[in-house]
Amino acid sequence: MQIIFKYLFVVVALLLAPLKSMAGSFKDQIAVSYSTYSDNVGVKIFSPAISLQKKLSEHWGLSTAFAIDAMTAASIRNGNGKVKDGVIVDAVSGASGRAGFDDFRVAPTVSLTYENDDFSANFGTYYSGEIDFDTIAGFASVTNGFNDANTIVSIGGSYELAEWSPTTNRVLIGGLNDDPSGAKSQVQVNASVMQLINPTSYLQLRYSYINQEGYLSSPYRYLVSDTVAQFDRYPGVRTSYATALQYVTQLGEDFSAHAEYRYYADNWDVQSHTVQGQLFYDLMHNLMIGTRLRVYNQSKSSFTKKINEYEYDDAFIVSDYRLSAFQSIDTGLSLSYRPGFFPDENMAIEMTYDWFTTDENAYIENWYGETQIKAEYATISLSYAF
Amino acid sequence: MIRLENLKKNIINIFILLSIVFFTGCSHVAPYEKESFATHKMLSAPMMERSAFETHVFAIREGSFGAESGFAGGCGCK
Repeated sequence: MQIIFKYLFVVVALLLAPLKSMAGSFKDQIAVSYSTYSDNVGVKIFSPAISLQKKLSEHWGLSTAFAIDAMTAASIRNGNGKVKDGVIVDAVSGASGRAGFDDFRVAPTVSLTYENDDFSANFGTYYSGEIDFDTIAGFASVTNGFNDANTIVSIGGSYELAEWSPTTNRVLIGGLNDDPSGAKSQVQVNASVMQLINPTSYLQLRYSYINQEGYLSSPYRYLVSDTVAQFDRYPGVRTSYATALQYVTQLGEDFSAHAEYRYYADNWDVQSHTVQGQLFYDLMHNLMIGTRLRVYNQSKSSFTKKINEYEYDDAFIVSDYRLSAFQSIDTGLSLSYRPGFFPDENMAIEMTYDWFTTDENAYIENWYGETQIKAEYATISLSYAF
Repeated sequence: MIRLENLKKNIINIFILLSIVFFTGCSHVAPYEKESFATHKMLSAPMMERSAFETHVFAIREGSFGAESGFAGGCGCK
């Protein structure tokens, strides 16, 4: 779990930077936020963050962000506790049963934005560092409007290097260029097209290509079954494609509806379908509430077997449920408030709360001792535009 | 691998086709008609902080990623 949070936060930061530059004219803004996550398998995350945007000139703007993640990860601490040949296979991480957080991550991001009429460009860099995992990435994107901004086209990309330094001092076979420390690289290309349909509706089409190479397993994950006790082993290359279509429309004066479908496929044979619906309502001109339902369904990878069918000489070993077939549902509530006592309602307060649950899964039960994962996460943010 | 290549071609072809359709435009919305797109509820990701954090959550709790709403074009509301 810890591993996954480390790795994917990079994706978040890279996506957020272009979003801010494309949302409209660049403006001076400060925002603070606090996000939390907890689930029934012992993972808790507390994530405060601060971001600043400053207009440097008529066409240039600077964005900076700094986030901290404090995590507890009981799964790393306890392992799956399975008994094999009369011996409890203990976790091999350095985390013991100590109280408090297991890990901290600090993640600064810096980017520059150029805007000129309907054209904008954004480029920047991101770093994430923690005790056993470091990531550095560069990203860039361009956006242009056509036909009086009825059509908006965006293209972006990022390149990331990451490296493990696991507390176990294991030799991680399969790293980038056979680096025993477990290095990996990722190239991501994103494209999107937004088209206004009429004065109250628009469509947005998004596409992503992602290629990862190097050590793609986890140094802490291992499978204990009736037949094997082995660390996870995955292929050294993962190539993924995803495309999503979103439809947004205003219903009457006070409602908006958002419908979205995403399809994903990769060379590990994982395919997924995601369907999401959201409804937003203006209680007052400066108070908006929302609700959403998201359903996710994925297939297993080509090398995922039933847990007790693995053999010692299998090329690939999987203990991670995220390479098995499963479904999840997410439901959430949101609120956005812009206090009227601030000029032009420049201050915005946003709060969300979501419930996430998977279906029952043998891999989840094998690793965590629970049949499914149930999680709750919340965000609260305060932003002020100057 | 052959199956993935076919899927890749299909996804790219669909994306290009839909992009062409989008470029030609279904209709033209004049600047003075874009008032609704300037409202918060009409953004592709109205709850921006959640969009960023949930991308993180879904990527670690699910097995797929990419094409999130965090990367998107503007609303055309300028």
